[in-house]
Parts: sequence; structure tokens; C-alpha cells
Amino acid sequence: MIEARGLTKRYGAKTAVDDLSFTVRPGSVTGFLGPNGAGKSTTMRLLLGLDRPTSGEALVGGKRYHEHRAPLREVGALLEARAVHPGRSARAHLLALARTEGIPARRVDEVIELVGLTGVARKRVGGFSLGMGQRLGIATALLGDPAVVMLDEPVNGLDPDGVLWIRTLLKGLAAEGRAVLVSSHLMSEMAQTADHLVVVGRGRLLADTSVTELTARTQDAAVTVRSPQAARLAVLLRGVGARSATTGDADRLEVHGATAAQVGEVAGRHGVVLHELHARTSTLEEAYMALTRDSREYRTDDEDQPDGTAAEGAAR
Amino acid sequence: MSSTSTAGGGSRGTRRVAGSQSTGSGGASLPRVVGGEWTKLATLRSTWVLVLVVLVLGIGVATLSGWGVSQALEAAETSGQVPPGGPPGGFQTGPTGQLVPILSSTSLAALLLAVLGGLAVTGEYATGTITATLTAVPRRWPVLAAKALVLLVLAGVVALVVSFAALLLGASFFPEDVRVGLGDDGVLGAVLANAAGMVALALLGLGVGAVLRSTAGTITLLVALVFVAPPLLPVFGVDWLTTASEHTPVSAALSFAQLDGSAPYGSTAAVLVLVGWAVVPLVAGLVLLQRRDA
Repeated sequence: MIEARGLTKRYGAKTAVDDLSFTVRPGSVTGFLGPNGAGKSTTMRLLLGLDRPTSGEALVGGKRYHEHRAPLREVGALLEARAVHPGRSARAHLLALARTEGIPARRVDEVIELVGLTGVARKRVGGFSLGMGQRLGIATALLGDPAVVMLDEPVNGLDPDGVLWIRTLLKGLAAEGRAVLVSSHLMSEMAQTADHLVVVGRGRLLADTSVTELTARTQDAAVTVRSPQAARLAVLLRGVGARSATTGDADRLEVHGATAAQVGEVAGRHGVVLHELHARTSTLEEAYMALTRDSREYRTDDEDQPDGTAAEGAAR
Repeated sequence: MSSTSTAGGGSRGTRRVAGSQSTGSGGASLPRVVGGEWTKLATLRSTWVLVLVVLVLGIGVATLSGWGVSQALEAAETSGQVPPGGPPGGFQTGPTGQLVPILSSTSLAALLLAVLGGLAVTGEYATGTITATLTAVPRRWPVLAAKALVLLVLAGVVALVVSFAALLLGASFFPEDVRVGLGDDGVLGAVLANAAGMVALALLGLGVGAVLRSTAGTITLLVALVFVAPPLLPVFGVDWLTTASEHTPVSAALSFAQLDGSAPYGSTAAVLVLVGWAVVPLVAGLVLLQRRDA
């Protein structure tokens, strides 16, 4: 269980986290979403007692983090991948942390096995790929078998195999009754993993909702149709009560208020040639983009198109 | 590398409550944090490389220095002339004339021990390990205390080996009738003080590292303190700068070797100077560690 209450962090004049309140419940995966610079990592640092909040409080497992005597057994966290001395082996890194809280060496080998690093456990971390670094970070998070797991962008740098592995792992952790908080700036990733979503932008809470609720809220059916006789089709469609508008190209219409089948029938009946016809439902990705449009910190003007996600995805 | 199993010692639905046999029990007590910090220090190759270099350089330079002084002494005696500058210059035949050049030759080794101390904390900031460290020990102070204890022991052993070996090898070139030995008055004290000075520098390095959190800044400051300040400060002819140069860690440790009474202050003051250099930056680092965002 993680509870943030009115959490605020200012760095000089810049407010990184602004009166943020949310709860992460055990037994489910909570996605922590927001554009780059939204305050996700700062919030996690506040939750872990690494940075001190300007105001508000963060409770993890019912206490402030630093009040836990053996915090690794309560909360496991991955903040930055590869935040490990490159000259140390993966096993030595884990062993040093384990010793500070009396966690037996057996558990170290267990988590190494769990993340699939057994073969390279005694190799120096400097030679690890980004993906291996992420796995080591996850092993670190799971070292104390904690009730709360907090991972900052865990799929960064993982290959598709690794991404799938993380998804399965996170769902498994939640199924075991743990509270799981995973940050990401990619809605597509969260849509497949999270049960609940906490969306932030510019440090503020934008949404605290379940994935299904957000999807339902943003369903916005539209039909895209491309025809050399677009103008004529638009008139015909108005006749059956559908609104249509050209989008960019003169031969392309976006139609609301009619299904793809209805559009096709109208066109067929009047002999209008169609080059393309498809139904488009607003995706979670678009819902997310709409939600965070005004709060993205770094963006280019043309990034505001619905497909601007590509630019977002490439960043970070 | 893909695996579908999840975490924990237990299977689905049988997750442990905190403190199961799989992960042990109890908190991050100081002895445990000491264990963790020792593991960190001992599992870095750079630690042992640095220790080896300290041993080789410390003993090696002191041995060369002893040989050089003994050669010069011999040359002066055979030619029957007192070298320019004469006693009490570098050619004293007394114990001070042997102790000071030999023991002061370990200051490069002492600087490297200080760097080792600094790296123990700046290395964590540079690599990001500090995040993992402080999430494991959110009370924070035990981390720096444990680092200090671990460093005290490692640097202590190395400093004692270097100091004793430096004296025994360095003095071995002198004729038996004038050669200083550990049994002579004040010699054992001078050797132990030299080791203490090296340990004080190691702790100073740790403290400075904890304050500055940057490797480059820490090393720069340490070099300035050990090698630049002592010869540079008196050049200006300003009294308080000269006094300051006499109170650097290396000067304080070396004052124990000045058995001819040329030391600027007594042994109690020298001990206080060394303790001050070791403790004050460390306390400052401790306070900042508690207060600052990690």
C-alpha cells in the first residue's frame, strides 16, 4: 500500500510535484503515467525518502519510508537502471545490500535466478547491456521479497522478450498480493499491464482511474474514408445524419455519427468510388495524449497530432 | 533469458509476510551495515589495486629516500666536509635526520589512502549506487559510520605495514652505529604517528567525499592539502599562512619524527590536529548526508 497525500516538491522556483494525492493498493498493478518531466521519478524518490517533500507526506506500508527498520523487506524499488558500480559484479552488488539488512546469501542467488542473470552473476556490471542492467535492477527490487514494489520505467531498453517477461512478472507480483507501482510514459505499455492508472502532468494529478474506465470514457467512434469524390460523399452522408469533415487531404473524410457499414452502403447506392474505409476507435493512447496534451513539458508543434506518440516514445 | 516465474520464495497466493525465513529478519543494524560496506569495498578491484599501489609506493619511495640520504651522508663524511646548509639541514646524523626523510616519503601513499576514502563515497554518487544504499538504510548515518569503520580498519592495517616497513627498509642503508631502530627513544611513537596520520588522511578523504560528493573535486582538494599547501603557504611570508602549513595533516604526523625538538608544537597538539582533520569533515559530511536530498 502506498499513500501520497498532498505531496509537493519544489526545486527553487520549479515545482516538480504539485499537491499530488493517490493510493496504490495491494493486489493490482498501478500504472504511473505521464510525459517526460511530469514528476514521476521525483514522486518515487519522495516515496523512498531519497528526497524530502516540500510539503505533504508519503506513506509506504503505513509508515514514512525512513521509519522502516528493514525497508528492503517492505519496499523494493528500481529507480535508474544500471545505478550500480560498473566494477562490481551483480552478485557482489546484491550481496552488499542483502548484508545490510541480514538477508541471507541464498536469497541473493534466488533473485539472480529469478531475473535470469545466473550465468553472468559474477561478471562485472560494466559489461552488462541495458536490458541486463534492468534485470539486475529488478533483482535488487525483489531482494527483500517486499510487499510493495516500485519500478521506474522498467521496460526501457528491454527487447520484446524482456518486455513480455516484465509484464508477466508484474502481473504475477500483483497476483501474489503485492502493491505494484510501475511508471511509464507509454500508454500502450500500461494498457497491457496495469489495472489502475495514475496519470500526472507537470507534477499534478490528471487522472486516477481504472484502465477500463478510462477506455470507456474516451470511446469516440469515427470512420475514416478516402474517396476521389469526397465532397460529394460528404453531402450524401449529411443526408443520412452523419457529420463529416476533411482531414488534411481533400480526398479524406472523418465521419462521425455513422458506422463504416453505413458509409459504405451510402457510397455504393450512389456509385461513389471509395479508396479506403475503416472504423477507428479512439485508443487509450489517444485518450492519454488528450489528457496530457497541455502538460507536456518538451514538445514540438507537430507533435500534437494524434500520432505524435512516436516522438514521445523515442524520447527518454 | 525469458522466464515466466514471479518473485518470492513462495508460489502464487502464498506470499510471505515480512520477515520470512527466506529473507531473514531484523533491521539494518550498524554491524550489518558494516558488513555491507565491507562487501562493497572488498568487491571492487580498484580497492585492491589502490592498496597494492599504496604498499609499493609507500615502502618503495621511503626505501629510496633512506638510501639517498645515506649515500649523501657517506659522501659528505668521506670528503670530510659538512654539506652546504649543514646540520640541521637534510644531513643530520641523528635519528631525526633519518626519520624525517624516510617517514615523510610515505605522504604520497597517504594521499592515495585519502583518495581510497573519498572514492568509497563519491564512487557511489558517480555510479548511482547511493540510491540503492540509502533505500536500504534510510536512516543514512549508519552508512557513513560503517564506511568510516571499514576504512579505519583497512587503512589502519595498510598504514601500519607501510610505516614500519618504510622505517626498517629505509634505515637499513645507514651504518649500524647511527641507524635508528624501533627501540630508540621516540622512534616507535614516530612510526605509529606516521601510520595514524595516514589513517587520518583516509578518513579526511571520506569526509571530504561525503561533503563534495564529486570524485574530481575531492581528489583536487586532497592533493592541494597534502602536496600543494605545505610547501606553498610559507612562501608568502605571512605568519598565519605559515602556521596553517604547519598544521596540515602530514606536518602534524611528521612532528612526531622531529625528535630534535624542531617540531612547532607538542605531541598533544599534534594528536588533536590529526583527530580534527579526520573527524571534522566527517561530521560535516554526516550532517549534510542527513539533511540533503540524496
